[in-house]
Amino acid sequence: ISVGQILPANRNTPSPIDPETIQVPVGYEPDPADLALSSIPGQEMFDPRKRKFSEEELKPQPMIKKARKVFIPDDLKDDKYWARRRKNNMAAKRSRDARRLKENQIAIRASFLEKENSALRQEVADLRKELGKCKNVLAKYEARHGPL
Amino acid sequence: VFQSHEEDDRKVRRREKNRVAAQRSRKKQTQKADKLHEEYESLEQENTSLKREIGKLTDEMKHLSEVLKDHEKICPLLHCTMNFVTVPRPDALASCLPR
Repeated sequence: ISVGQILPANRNTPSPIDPETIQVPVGYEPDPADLALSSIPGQEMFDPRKRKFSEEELKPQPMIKKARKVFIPDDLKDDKYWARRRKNNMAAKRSRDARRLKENQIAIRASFLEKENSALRQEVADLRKELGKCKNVLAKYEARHGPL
Repeated sequence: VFQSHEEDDRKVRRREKNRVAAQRSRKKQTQKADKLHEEYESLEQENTSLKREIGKLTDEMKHLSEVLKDHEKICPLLHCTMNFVTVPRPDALASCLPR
């Protein structure tokens, strides 16, 4: 085998490389206040390491056609009206809260990814260096004594 | 009567100012979110590609060390008993084995 063919194109690897399984130690501790703002009290704490956001979730929110504001005189503001107002106000609040939560989560995960990527880049550099040294030694050997 | 017209005028002006300010604020919020999403997406892509590269490189390292290990067993320089010239230190090759 010559140095140039260290990795034959038709190698018989048992399993394809799955980026999901590759782990690199990342020392990342998000601000607990931020974490609290990104987690729903009833559910598990938000984990930036595991939670990905799909394209679907990142799309800008669809513009819903809003009904024009029609002025309602006070005498028409009966109970039914106020019940409807209350219902809509609650829904609007839920919507705003959900949106805020989502944006916080994305921000934390982005910050985590920045750290992870920097660690990954370091790992790549280390591996390349290591590989270079080995191939160099191999080349020197093969130069003197022919292919392995 | 004159006064109430003035008041209405002021009210209308204030409402319009607030409407415009609200519109500006909403626009700012969406732009901020869009920018964040863009950055996030590029980070995810970079993340995946880096992991893929690490996988490739580690595979290459494994393969290389296997090749070297196999060679060590049959290396003429290490095994020939009639060899009086200086034998290349085995550590030179074996030191390449992964950490």
